[in-house]
Amino acid sequence: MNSTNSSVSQTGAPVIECSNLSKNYGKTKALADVSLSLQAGSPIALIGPNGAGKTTFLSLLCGFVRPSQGSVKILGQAPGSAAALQKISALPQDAWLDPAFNIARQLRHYAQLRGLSGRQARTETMRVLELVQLADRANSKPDQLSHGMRKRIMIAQALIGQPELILLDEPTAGIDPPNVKIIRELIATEAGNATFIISSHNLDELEKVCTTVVHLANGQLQGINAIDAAANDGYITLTMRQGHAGAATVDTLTQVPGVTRIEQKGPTELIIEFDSSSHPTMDIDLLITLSEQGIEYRRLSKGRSLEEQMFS
Amino acid sequence: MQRTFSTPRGLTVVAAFLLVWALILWYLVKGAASWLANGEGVLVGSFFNSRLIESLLGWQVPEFSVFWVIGLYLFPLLCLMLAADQTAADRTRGTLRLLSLHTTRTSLFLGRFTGAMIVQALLLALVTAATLMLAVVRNEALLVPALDTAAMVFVNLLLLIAAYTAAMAVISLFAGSARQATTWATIIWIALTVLLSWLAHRYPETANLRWLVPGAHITSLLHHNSWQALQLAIVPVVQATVLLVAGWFIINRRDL
Repeated sequence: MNSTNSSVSQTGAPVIECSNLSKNYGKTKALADVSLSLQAGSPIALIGPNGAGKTTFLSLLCGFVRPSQGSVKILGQAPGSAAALQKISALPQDAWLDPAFNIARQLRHYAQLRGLSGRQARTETMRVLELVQLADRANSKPDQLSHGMRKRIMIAQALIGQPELILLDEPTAGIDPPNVKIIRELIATEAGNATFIISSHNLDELEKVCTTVVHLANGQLQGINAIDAAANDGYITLTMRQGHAGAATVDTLTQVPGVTRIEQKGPTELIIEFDSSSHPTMDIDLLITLSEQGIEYRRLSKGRSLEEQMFS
Repeated sequence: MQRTFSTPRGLTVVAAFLLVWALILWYLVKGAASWLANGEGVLVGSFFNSRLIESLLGWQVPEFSVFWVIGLYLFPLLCLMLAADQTAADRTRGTLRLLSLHTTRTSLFLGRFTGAMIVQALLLALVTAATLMLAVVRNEALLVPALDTAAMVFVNLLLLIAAYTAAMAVISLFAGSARQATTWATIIWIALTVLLSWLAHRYPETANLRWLVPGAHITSLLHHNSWQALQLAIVPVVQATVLLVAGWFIINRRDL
């Protein structure tokens, strides 16, 4: 994992530039002196524990709140300015549609606020509803939808007008796996059209779609890291079947030539550290050993999880 | 506007508004207009020597004299309810955040004010037209003067409502719901009226502070029965402008 202090290079122009950005709520410092520059490109993960300042940071980018100190530019524009509004959109946390109107009507209204004509707004509404696979619920009111569907509708709202930058605050929080899968696939599909910044505690999901991680803790920037193959070199993560990740398995796998260390994470997960230069086919060696010894596993993946990389 | 005319809650409010005005027009305006038209008011006017009653007797279309007196007090009260939810509920729900992602805060604020004004203008036009019909049904010859008077009443009441609606736009920025906005507005008006009256009594030089409060010119308007009432239009126009500038300043600087 490559780490830099405050910037990461991908492709294209910078989408976000912050300089000494701080936000205080009374005496509480929600965000302290954050300076960073993020480039347009693949999805960017925003991670950190509760109270790290993730939502405050996204709220500053959206223009919902004003900085106490410092400055921030979105695609060269001030957050909340008319010029910035045409380029960015977001799924804010704890923001809901009006329960009095149906979904399509509200999305059409948002599209028209962006300057689309009535006809364009209708077409755009159906386009974004189809993207989130909820075109058949266009005439439903928000209260008639499940939590997961409402999240998807909120993401559809964020896709209106094809913005260049889309900020998603906890897009998969509290929703079931099928809805998570739909959202993940949608982000992967749309990632070619817009830069996503995704705040989430679900590191497994972030790892699947993001290539850059912005790490906040206690309101301060801990670092910006690029997830790449090199950072995972020399690690294999084995997920075993229940009852197959005990000491006996660890002993057996430790005997495999090239394995330097095995760490047990939880009841089923083993992280295997090895010398990748002398044993480039370690994954195959491990599979052969598991097969020969009759040890059942569920999954073998190269590298470590994002959680392991960030917090181990 | 859509919230008022296409949601059950909005339609209920409109229905209640129209019902109240139907009763007022039928029982108060119609009855009092016949009474005034018959010249019975002259006796009362001379008995009380009241400038107000003399002014009311001076209206060519008596229906509008009664409508004017009731409207000057009732429309501001109704405005406290009809214009209460310009941004309050949306902010509490987070919908204002969603809206602010698609348009500027200034557009939102002024758009909501304009919407509230259009709704009230439509309702006011409806009730004014009903009063016009009452007058014409009683006396067809009153059509032309009634049209002129209806226009005068409509314009002046609309200006009056504009000041109240601007005040509600500002209060709605702080309230958590429409009901809270209405409650706060009522408290603020009573408190301001009492405070400014006390100040004017204790310190006469502060008497002009009353012009800061929407509706300050209602007493003066009561004595007008022609387009001359527009001489006082500067009061609600300035009040509405000042309040809207204050609201624009607040919405562009506060956190959503």
